[in-house]
Amino acid sequence: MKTQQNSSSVQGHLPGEVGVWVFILGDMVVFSLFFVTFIYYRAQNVELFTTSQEMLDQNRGALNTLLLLASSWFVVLGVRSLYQRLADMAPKLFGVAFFCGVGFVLVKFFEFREKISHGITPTTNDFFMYYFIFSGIHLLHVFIGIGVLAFMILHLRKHGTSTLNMVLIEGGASYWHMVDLLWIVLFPLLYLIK
Amino acid sequence: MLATGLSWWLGTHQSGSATTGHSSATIIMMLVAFFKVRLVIMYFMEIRDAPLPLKLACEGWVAVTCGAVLGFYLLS
Repeated sequence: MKTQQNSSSVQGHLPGEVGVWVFILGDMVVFSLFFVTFIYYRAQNVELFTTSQEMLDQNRGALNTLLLLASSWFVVLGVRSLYQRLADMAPKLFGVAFFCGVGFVLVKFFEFREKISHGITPTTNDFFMYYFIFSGIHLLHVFIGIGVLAFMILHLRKHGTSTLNMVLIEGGASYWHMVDLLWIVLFPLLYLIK
Repeated sequence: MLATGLSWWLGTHQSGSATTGHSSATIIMMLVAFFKVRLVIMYFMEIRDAPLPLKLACEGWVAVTCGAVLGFYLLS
């Protein structure tokens, strides 16, 4: 299923299709702008950002990081199992990844709910505006990613190895890894830096 | 997985324990974060085996984003 790599590495193997990567790269650029915007405005008011950050739960943030990393790992195993023609394993592995994603959403939901119940909202101050907006937009991406994983699982259940669309599987997997890597940056940025 | 463990340790220990030299802990933390991001891109997303233009675009994103974030942080 994997294309043979040519002697020139210019060809290579594209995981998914071009359209998906245009979207993924575009999304990554947008989040870069979010990261830089946050750091820039943080520099204007370090004390406010640092004291506000102390109200965040680092352990929940770290748990979310581990959940997404683990889910990405299971997606990698799932894709590999398809290349190794262990097709029965893939839906189960993607299923575990799916539940890790759901776990992330639940942790985030309780985190937001706790903040709001203590009167901390996006209008509280600049730090919390960025916290809610950026982690909220990321959460939206997680929702979409969970939907993509579910679609991939359904596709696997419907198709045998001969009709399996690996471009679709790899594209979906790439999107999920993007969701993971964005949180790997967002977590220390929002929760940890001093 | 080792990088995950390192990140977990850095994240939950260094940030709370440093009373001086906060900047260096943060810089290390962000460098580790972008190192992990690069690992996810190269190995999870399989960009290591991708066409050169895409590989360069991804490497460029990591370098520029890391540089910009650390640059603005150090200017603060």
